[in-house]
Amino acid sequence: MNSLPLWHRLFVAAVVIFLAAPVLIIVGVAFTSAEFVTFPPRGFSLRWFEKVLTDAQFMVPLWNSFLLGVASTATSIVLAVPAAITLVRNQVPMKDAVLAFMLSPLSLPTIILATSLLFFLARFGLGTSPVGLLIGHVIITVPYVLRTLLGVYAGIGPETEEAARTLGAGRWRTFWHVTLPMIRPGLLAGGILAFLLSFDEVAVALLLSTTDTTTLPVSLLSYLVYNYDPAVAAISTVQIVIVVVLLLILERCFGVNHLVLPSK
Amino acid sequence: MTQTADLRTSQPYLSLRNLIKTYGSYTALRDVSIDIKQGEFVALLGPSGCGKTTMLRAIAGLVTPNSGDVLLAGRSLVGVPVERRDLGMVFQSYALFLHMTVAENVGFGLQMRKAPKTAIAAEVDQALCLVRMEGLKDRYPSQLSGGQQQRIALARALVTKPKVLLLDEPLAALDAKLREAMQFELRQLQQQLGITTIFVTHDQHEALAMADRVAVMNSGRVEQFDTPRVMYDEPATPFVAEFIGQMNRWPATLVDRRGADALVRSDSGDIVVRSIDGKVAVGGEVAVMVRPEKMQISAGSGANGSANAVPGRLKGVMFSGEKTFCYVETPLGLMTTVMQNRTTGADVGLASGDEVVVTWRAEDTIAFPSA
Repeated sequence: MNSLPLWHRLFVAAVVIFLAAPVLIIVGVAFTSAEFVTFPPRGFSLRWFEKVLTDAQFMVPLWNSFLLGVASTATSIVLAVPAAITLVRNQVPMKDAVLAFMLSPLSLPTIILATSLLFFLARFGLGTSPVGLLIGHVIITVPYVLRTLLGVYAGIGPETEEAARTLGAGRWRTFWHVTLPMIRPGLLAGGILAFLLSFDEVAVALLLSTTDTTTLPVSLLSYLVYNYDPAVAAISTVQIVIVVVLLLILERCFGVNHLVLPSK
Repeated sequence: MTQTADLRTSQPYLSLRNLIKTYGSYTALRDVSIDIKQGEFVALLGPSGCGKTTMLRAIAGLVTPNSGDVLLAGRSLVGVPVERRDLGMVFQSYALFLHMTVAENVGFGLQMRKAPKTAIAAEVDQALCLVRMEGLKDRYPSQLSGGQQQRIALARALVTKPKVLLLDEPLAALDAKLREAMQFELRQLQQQLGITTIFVTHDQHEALAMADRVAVMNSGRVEQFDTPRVMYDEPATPFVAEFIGQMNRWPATLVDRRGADALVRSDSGDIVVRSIDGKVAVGGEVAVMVRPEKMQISAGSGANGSANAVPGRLKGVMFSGEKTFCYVETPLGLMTTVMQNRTTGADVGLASGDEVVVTWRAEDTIAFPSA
């Protein structure tokens, strides 16, 4: 770092400030003792945290968002792993077209996706069911998991799995003992992305959730329509803390650092 | 040196019968059949794309041939999945499991066979001892050098006591000195264990030095399958003749057959040839071949009593350590001769531009019908 010229270091500092400032402002506002959002915050109090942490209006959606994030991530992984293995290792007719199709939700505005899903799922009586909500989120998250897995898996080459086969491991045991550990960096990176996307997602949840299944971003949105108090900042801070804690746990267990930013 | 392992049984142990493998319009194996004896060390040698790796992978079960059969001890392996063929394989990239320690890598095959933990530990120790890597059990592959990884891959393949050991260019990634040492060590190990071994290489010196028999392959076919010495001295096809070692080659016409020998006419007079394909009629075109080290070079123009002599002018001399190469411009084109440097400071005693004569014996001369 010492070799970086001054202008370069200033530029990096500016980018960091630009990215981090809104987060710091929200966290700062959350500790205010005032009745409304101001910055810099006036006084110091935990009253807004007390409010949101005891208020079912925030806690139920937070729990819903967490469950939905976990379910979307798990479902995406279950769908993306066989897809990635097949696309990388086998001769698939029209491979590029299949791949483009599977990644296509990336290029679709989520509000359009949400609208059409609502109509489509309603045909099966799933319009605003929890399953429908999960399907909507999986459509959004699966391309991210798949994309990450494809990169990691394609870089591995078939010989390691072939070696396992020659040593007496059948297809399933080869997958379990060799393939899965090798693609774990991709699984973790893709899984983290998927969870964060789902945890944050507004458009699909807005149209496909009900009062029982409402997610945190949706309830924040509706709360903001009539309220302008720092409770929103407090619950956002809680959300940030949850994500940071999750990342730290993953980092401690698996060393996410070089997983989220694969070298290639 | 210990004698070659158990080659007494004449029964083939591993047989490939009429193997054919195509990838779309590309044919990797064209009707390949060879028989390998128990305990034999066989090298599959050929240029890249000749089908040698495909052949090895077909034996392993990693490639399914379009037709043909692979027989191991008389039983067909076709339809037997890779994991139940009981063969050991070492890959060019070693393909070690990077998330496992050396001991876990080596023990993997036993773990898959559901061996008890204590037995695995003992067998792993033994296998690591065999490749002289005892001290590295708890390391990860990324902490090992290329040569060490190569030994671990070998130990991993040997620990299950496979019926056949398959090696896919296992030494290609090592540097020259280490490769030579490993060639010798691998050969010693193979003889010590008496394990039937098939070794894929594109390095002819490696193949000749290590194998009991060499199969030279070219565009999906086995051109010749023989001992290294026969392969070198009596190549069966022009491809083998030119692929292994060096050859001087020039065209000629068959003039006469006299018993074992034949007389051919070239642009530089008549040449006596050892043996020639019976199919060539008198007047037919042939390609005459002589190895550089079988040729003598001397000043002047006399034949020195040799059966064959061609006059020429010395174009250049290249000293290369144990040998000296001489390039001679002759009416038949540029010829290379090689001299062993038996004494220090040995000199050819000739200079570029000198008039010389190249001589060689009839029995060192071979000829093939021109393609």
